[in-house]
This record gives sequence, structure tokens and C-alpha cells, in this order.
Amino acid sequence: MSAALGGAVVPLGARYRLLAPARPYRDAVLRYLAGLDAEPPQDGAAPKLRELRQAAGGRVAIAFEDGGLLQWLDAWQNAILPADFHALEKLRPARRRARGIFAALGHDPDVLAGRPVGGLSLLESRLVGFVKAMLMEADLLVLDGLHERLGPEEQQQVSGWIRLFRDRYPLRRLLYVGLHEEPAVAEFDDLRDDLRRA
Amino acid sequence: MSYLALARDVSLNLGALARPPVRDVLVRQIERTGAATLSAMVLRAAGIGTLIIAYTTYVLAADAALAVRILVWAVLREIGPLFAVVMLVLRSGSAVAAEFALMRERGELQRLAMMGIGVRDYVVVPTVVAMALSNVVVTFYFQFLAVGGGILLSALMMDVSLDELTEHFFALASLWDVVYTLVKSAGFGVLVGLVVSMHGLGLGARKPVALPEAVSRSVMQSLVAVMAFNAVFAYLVFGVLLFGIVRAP
Repeated sequence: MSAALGGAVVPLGARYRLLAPARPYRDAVLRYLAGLDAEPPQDGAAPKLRELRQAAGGRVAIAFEDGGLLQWLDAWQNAILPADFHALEKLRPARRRARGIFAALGHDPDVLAGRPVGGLSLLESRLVGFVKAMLMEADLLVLDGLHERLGPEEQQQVSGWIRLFRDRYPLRRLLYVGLHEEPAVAEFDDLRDDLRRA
Repeated sequence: MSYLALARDVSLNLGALARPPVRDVLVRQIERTGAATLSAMVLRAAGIGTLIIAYTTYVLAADAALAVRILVWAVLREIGPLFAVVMLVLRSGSAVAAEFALMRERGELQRLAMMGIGVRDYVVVPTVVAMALSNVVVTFYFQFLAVGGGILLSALMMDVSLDELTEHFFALASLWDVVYTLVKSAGFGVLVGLVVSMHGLGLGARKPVALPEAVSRSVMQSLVAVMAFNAVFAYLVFGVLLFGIVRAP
């Protein structure tokens, strides 16, 4: 199954990677996909980014490279914030789902409760940010350079998170936006190559 | 964005408080603003009450009835709400503005927006409501301490009986004073909340300023806004402005 939009096709379950030349470009891509900007950065990737955003229909979540965490909340509150904010249910079901995801990723959610964000390592911040993005049940998950600035073992852990996401949600799309070529996401289709083929 | 536009947005989006994370922020801001101000209040409030009674009794040679009358007028209607809001601005408003400016500089506001969480709903609405509620509580607390402490200390230190002072107080104070205090202190709190949000978060039309300037502007403009509101409120309620220089027709 795939989403056909204006003649373009964005397959369900597609995985893309996009090499950003600089941080401002990456920020612009994230802002566009999040719906804050009307237009993507004007280069060869722009048409495909438009298709991705249209195909996701506004249901886009971003796993930020620094977790995108708020300092005034603890790690656990950060993890459930967007899902909790958008849910409106009084029972706050995001808490239960978050516990399940943390457990599936091999982490004890109780350790995060009350833990200040400033005391988290880079990997832990990314983990909280990744769980936060997973909880949003988005059609497009954007991975913001999650492998960057990590050692080989930590990169393997991050790859494990992505595998878990794909196993749980095989039909959802993934886009990895990074500043460097990452071997861990080499199997993802290059967004620009995909565009050239089209 | 102007203050009026922000005030309108906040009033139209009070429904955001139904969201659990927004309520969490509300509780957090009440704890920070209310508790921080209350703890600094006790001695100052009792001292002001005592000073007013002592001054009117000794310097103006007034009797107990007049001393209590001046205490009621000054503390319940003017000094109480003003002193409370000044404490709120200096102790909590500056801290909140600094925290907001830091959030902006760390890029947290943009991240919130990227997660589909509006800054106005998640940050501004609970802050303004928290400031209003906290200031009402702090004002009543100040009035209680100033009047109660003032009457008690005056009875202990001066040649005036506690019964006499208490009797005069209850004869003079009315429900109107409570309503007046409630509306005025809530208005003060709303103003402070709007000003610190505007400058801390950089919501104004001008380019956002750095943290120190955001704090400085928040404090100064909060105080100016409070004084202006106080004057307008007095004119609307009593028909008097600028100590009687301007009177309602």
C-alpha cells in the first residue's frame, strides 16, 4: 500500500535518509516537517519533503538529537508530555504506554521519575526524546541525527530503538536527517537518490 | 503581539487548563510564585500594621477608632494589594521571566512548537492564571497579618486594649473590602503574568532581548502596569484619581 499524492508515491513503511549540509538546513527541514514553515529549504530534496509532509497528513513526530527536553520537567514528565498534552483523557493513558516502551527498550521507567534532565547523558536524553516521539503515534517519525556524537556501542543501542519502532509500526515512515553519512542508516533510501529515480 | 492581543488570547484559551500537563504547569507556577512570596511576608506585614497604628496614635495623636480606621483604609484597600504585588513582581515575576528567557534561548519554545504544543496554551495561560490566584492569596495573607499582627502588637506595646481595637476593626471592615481586594489583586496578578510572559518568552513585536534585559523590562513594566491599573481602578471605584486632583464628574 502507498500514498499517492499529485502523481508522487510515498510508500508506507518507507525509510529515508537525508544528508544535511549544515545545521541550519537541518533545522529548516525539521521546522517544515513539523508544520512551522510553509516551504522546505529550496534544494533538490524539497519536492520529496513536500510529499512526505503531505503523506503524513500533519502526523509527524521528531526524535531530537538532544531529546528536545524541557528543563523544568523531569525525564519521565518530558517523555509523556506531548502524548499527554494531545490526549485530553483524564486517565492519562500515555503513562502506561510509555512504561511499556521503556521496558521494551530495556530501561526501567521508574528510574526516570524525578530525575532532572540536566543529569541525563546524551544517550539517555535521546532515549527519552525517542520514546516521546514514539508515543505521539505519528505517521512519519523524523530521526534528528540520533547516531551522531555517539560511540559504536551506543549507536547499536540507537539502532535497536529504531528496529523496535519498525517492528511495532511496520507501515509508518521514517526519515533520518543527519549531518554525516551514518553506516547505521545506510540501508535507508537516500531521499535525493529516490527523487532522481522518480 | 500586543498586551491586549495576548490578554484576549489567554482569556479565549482558558480551556487549555483542562489538559493535564497544563494543570501541572499551573500547580508548579502557583507553588513557585505563591509559596516564594508568602514565606517573605510575615514580619513585614505585621510590622507595617504596627507602624500604621503607632504612627496614627502617637504622631497624629489619634484615638483607637481613628487608628483602626486608617489601618483598614490603608492596609485593606491600598497598601495590602500594592505591597503583595510588589513582592510578587520582585520575588517571583523576575524569576519567571528569567526562566522563560532561558527556555527561549535554549530553543525549548521552538521544540514545544514542533511537538504541536502551543506556547500560549502550555506556558502563558497557566502562568497568568497562577499569578492571579497567587496574588489574591498573598494579598489576603498580607492583610490578615498586617491587620491581625498590627492590632496584636499595638495592644501589647501601646496603651490601647485589644478588645477596643478588634471591635473597631469589625465595625469598619465590610464585605465590600473583600470584593475590592479580590478584584484588584487578581487584576494585578493577571497584569504581572502577561508582562513577564511577553518579555520572558519574547512574544512582542520587537526582537526578543537577552535574559538580563528581559528580566529588567519585566520587573519595570510590571510595576508601571500595576501602578497604572491601581490608579484606573481607584478612579472607576471611588471616582478619584491622583490623590483627589482628578475627580469623576
